[in-house]
Amino acid sequence: MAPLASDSSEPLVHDDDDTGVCLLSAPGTAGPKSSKGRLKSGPAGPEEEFQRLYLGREPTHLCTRRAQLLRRRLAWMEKKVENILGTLNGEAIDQIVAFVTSAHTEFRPKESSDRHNPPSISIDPLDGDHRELPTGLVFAGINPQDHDRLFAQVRSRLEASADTADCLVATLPAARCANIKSASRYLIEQCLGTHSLLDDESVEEIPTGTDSTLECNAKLPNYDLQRLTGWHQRIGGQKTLVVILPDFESFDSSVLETLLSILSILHRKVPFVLLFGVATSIDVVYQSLSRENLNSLRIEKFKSQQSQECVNAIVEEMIMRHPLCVDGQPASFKFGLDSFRFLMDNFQLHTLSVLSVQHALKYAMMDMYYSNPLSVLMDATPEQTKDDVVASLTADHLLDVRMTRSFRNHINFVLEDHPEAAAALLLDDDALRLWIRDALAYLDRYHVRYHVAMQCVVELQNLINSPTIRRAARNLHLLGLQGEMVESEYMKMLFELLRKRKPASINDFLTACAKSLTADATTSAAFTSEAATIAALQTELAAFASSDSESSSEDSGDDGGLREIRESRKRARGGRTTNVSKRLKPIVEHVKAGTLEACVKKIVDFVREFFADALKSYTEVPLHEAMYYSNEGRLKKAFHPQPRAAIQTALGQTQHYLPCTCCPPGISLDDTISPHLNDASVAYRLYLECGRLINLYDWFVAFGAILEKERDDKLEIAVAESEEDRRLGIQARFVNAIAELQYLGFVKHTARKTDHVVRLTWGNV
Amino acid sequence: MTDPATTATTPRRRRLQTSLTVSSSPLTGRGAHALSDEDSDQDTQAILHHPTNKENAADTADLEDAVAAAPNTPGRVLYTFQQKRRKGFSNLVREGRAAMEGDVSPTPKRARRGLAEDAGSETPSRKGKNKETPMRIRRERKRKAEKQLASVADNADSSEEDEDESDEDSGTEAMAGAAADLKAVADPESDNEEADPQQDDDDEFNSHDRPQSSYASYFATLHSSLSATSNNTLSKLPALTAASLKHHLAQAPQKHAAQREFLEMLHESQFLQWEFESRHGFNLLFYGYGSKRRLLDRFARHLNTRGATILVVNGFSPSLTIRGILKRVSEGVLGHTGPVGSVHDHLALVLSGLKNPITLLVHNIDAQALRAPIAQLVLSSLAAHRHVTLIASIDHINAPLLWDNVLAARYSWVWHDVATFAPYAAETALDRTAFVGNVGADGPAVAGGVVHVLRALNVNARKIFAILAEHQIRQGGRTGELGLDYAVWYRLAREGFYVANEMTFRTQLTEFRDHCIVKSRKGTDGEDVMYVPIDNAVLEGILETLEA
Repeated sequence: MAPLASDSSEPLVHDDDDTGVCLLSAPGTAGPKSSKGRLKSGPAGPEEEFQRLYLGREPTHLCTRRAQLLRRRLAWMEKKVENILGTLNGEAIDQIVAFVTSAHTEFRPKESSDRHNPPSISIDPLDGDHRELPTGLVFAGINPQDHDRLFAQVRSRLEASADTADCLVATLPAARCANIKSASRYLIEQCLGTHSLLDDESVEEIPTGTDSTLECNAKLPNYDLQRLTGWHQRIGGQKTLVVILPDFESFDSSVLETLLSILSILHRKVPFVLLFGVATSIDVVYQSLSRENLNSLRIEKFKSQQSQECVNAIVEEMIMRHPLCVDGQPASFKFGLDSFRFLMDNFQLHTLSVLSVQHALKYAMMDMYYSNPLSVLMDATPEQTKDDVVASLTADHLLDVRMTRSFRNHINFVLEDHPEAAAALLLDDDALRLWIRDALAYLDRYHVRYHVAMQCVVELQNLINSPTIRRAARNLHLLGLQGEMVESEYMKMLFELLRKRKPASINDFLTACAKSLTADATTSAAFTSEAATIAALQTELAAFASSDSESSSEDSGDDGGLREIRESRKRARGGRTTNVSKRLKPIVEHVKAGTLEACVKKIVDFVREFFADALKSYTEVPLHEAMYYSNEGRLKKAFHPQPRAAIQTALGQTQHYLPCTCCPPGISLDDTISPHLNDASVAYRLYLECGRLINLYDWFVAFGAILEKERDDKLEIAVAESEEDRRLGIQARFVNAIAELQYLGFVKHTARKTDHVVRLTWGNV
Repeated sequence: MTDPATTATTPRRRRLQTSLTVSSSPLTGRGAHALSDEDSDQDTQAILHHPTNKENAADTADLEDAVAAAPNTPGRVLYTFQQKRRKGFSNLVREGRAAMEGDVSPTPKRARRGLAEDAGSETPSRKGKNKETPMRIRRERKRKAEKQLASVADNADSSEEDEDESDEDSGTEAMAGAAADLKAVADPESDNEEADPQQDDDDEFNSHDRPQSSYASYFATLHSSLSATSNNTLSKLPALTAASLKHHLAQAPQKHAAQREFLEMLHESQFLQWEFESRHGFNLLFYGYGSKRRLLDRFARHLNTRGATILVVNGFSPSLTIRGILKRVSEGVLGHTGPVGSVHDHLALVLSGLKNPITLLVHNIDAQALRAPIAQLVLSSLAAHRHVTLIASIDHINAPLLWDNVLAARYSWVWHDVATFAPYAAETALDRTAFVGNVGADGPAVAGGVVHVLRALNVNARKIFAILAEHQIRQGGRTGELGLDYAVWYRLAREGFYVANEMTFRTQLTEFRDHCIVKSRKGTDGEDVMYVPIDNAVLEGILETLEA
């Protein structure tokens, strides 16, 4: 319990400490009261928080800038995710709010009449159905941890909106409701506020109902829900109590049943609305509640948006979008291919949780700003800041820029035509600074074009409108990051299908493309030539559409320009035309100029070219390293660790952790076990050779045989006095090694045979 | 081995069962060879590799007893047959081991004993054995042999024998030999049905050599996997006291010291980064081989100098309880004293009371004491709190299985691999003692064991135990003077209506004594004084878990 032990090698908690717990108070503070929040709450100075990189040579203002950028970025992310989920679940939330408000509209007049003669609330059997507890089952996705956010939004909406000002919301998480006592106390606490709990005098129970079994003057314990009735009357008897159970599945069913039956009794005086967050299906409600309880509930169902949709929206809004800052706010955060794939795989294959994606995003941002000195180049929107930042880059930064792969590619590219320019970039810092400015501008332009092109791909999907073709935004983005997107099978299929469309729908598609191309100033600046081409193509197409309208009417308006082929094929097939044959009609590469077909081909070629340029891989863009987060390994280690493999590697292939010269490297052909290894490692390698049961004695003998070699290798430090002593020493080390293996979970004792242990791991299973 | 007339007996029950074909050539020659070699085999048996020779050699020991007891009785054949069948397997196993491990493999104690016997008398005498085997083991063997005797007499199958494969144990063999004799007397008709042992042994080997039908190989592997280990026990090794263990461990060479130091330095250079992560609301979890205690303690000191309030918890400490942690938080950080109610209430109190940031450092969050669901619930609720930063380490390879997705989401870990290769000195202290020696004699040191035993007893028994334990806690002081008079304890138990008469009380007492939970010593006035041989702090923990 020493506040700050000076000897740093001493353990903080001594082994003979009974409790095994020790408290280190913050230095310079007398008691716990005065230790003001210096962590988490109060933002520490950036110098404190961020290390100055380049061995401390990084200028302070750039370090500060990184910290500021991160803070701004994280705030933006929180807000953005909240926004996205709010809009996605907007409908569900609206429904829930409407349900809560309307649940008691039929109550209100009745209650007001009740207030006139409070002592006798007659329970009319006729309005029994009114007495049912209105209950909303909210299917909020399979991850209970994601429910909290949804309910927080519901809660804030309920508390904020004007027409529901009479609502009072209480949340009962299962963790706080181990028994009915703590559940009801927690409920009361939330309704009344904790202060009134401590202050017992103010909460005087006035039993009013005839059904009260309590004496008038008896004080109720602070967990009796009857307290709510008195309190409710005092505050006007108008408020609706909304009780949210965010994780229905985790509830103990007996607690739930008791709680529900109490609430349904109290419901006669206090209007309740229940909201259950259900992760699985409605079956769980029927299974965990008794018939009586179910009878007392009036259940309505609500569905929130699936987490896939949410993540799609997050990817679309926060990752795919071009990261140009709007009004000084950061826009999107770019991920490299591997890290993005990890993010998505972890979501799709492991957690399916929006929260985990958000955490990973946050961690990636932290890592980016914390460890990448070039991240100062991000989010530099006003041209002035960009100039300032670029001007203040130190020699270390410039060296880093010169070492990036994309810079080297660029040099190789320039070298052929302008060797002197390449030399200037390599030698002259000012030239490099200029180049960085250009590269940043080019990156911006690339991002804008990429984003718009992706929108066009989505438009193309919409045009074709087939469920087999539709891909989620996150998968499209993955395809885009991989590069060579136009060459992919998927895009080829899209183009082929585009060619088979009617001119009118193609025209629609072009219009949609043109619209997203000229959505705002930045995009139209990036697409001047493309917009013009689209306009030209559209007029060309329009000419065909009008000229062919009469002639193609006989073909029932279908793909007029393809008559020629149709004719030839009619002849070949004996004149039969079926829907299938229409769909299967081949795409001819060599078409006559001036026909509709030629025009469509021209359009498709243009679109392909446009996509090929706009959707090229980010790796081809110079200086993308400053913008794209590509540290996949860090993410993987932080969120998808392999603790068992790590321990097995440490024991079985020690050289990965301890690069020493004494141990044989890697997988040597002779599988002898080196005596230079740790004791536990030696024992572990022997363990790998064993079967299901391991005889401790035999293990010991084998272990000893290996340690014997120590003597040959002069590893021993203390020369034992006698052979007996040596033997005991080996025995002690064996016992220690086995204890470690048992502690790590590789073996366990068994009673099946004397002095045997059971082997618990097999390979990597 | 036996006379040819017995060897050549025909129809065999066993052959019908296993459907193995047997070559009909009589094996008298081999048997005679065995007999003649009987003496010289003693010292060579350990290095013999020919299966048949080994077979014979292995049998010489029991032959001596058996022949002396009842020469030429047909029943003896039955016995040797049974004995042999097992031998066949164990020989195979031994061979396999020898092939696998080469010289590294320990020759079982037979070799040593053979030498010892050579030095002493020519034939193994029971007297010589007695020196080697402690009294307890001999008693155990005797008991087993009696059981065997009974089972053989009942004509039951040898399921019992499979378990105590005590080949080298002449005590059992003698008894079993006697049992065989008894069987011979009891059931003389069955003689001619029994198979010839030598031939059957042959069958065993043949069956292993040639491809078998699938079901036969299945059973063979199933059987062999059970007996794939030798019968050596640790009792052959000298006893190791806790003190000598410590002494010898201190002398053990430090391997890779330089690399380990380098590794630790690398880890320490990450302190600032870890601090940064913890500030941004992530909880840190450290894994990897080696004790992380020193490293994390240093990290805690680092955080402490930067102004954090830190609560350090040793998860591996045997007396740790989740209540203890909560209590320390509520008393030390919130300054709250007074009744706190149940664990849930206490948690609620802490959660609503925390206003200042606090860092919780839990060494081994996967430790035994913290594996209970309630402990994980409390810790995860704390971790999810806005003002709490949790820093924890795990060592068990399957530790992540402790958390389902809800718990894992609450913890919101960021993982770090910090293999330190440092010895687990404090963490495995308890595990080590399990190997050192007789745990039962000193009473179960681990609280978990006592709780386990008490859980198995009824409520009244637990209450009776609680009387003694509470009394002892009240007494305090050293273990030597603790305890409760037998009569007083009985009276208290009766007053509490936990027992109705002394009979039941004694029954419960026997239960406690058998599990070494309660021990007795003579008091000053000659009365039995009962006490619990457990530390008071641990005892409190036990009572608490029992009440929970």
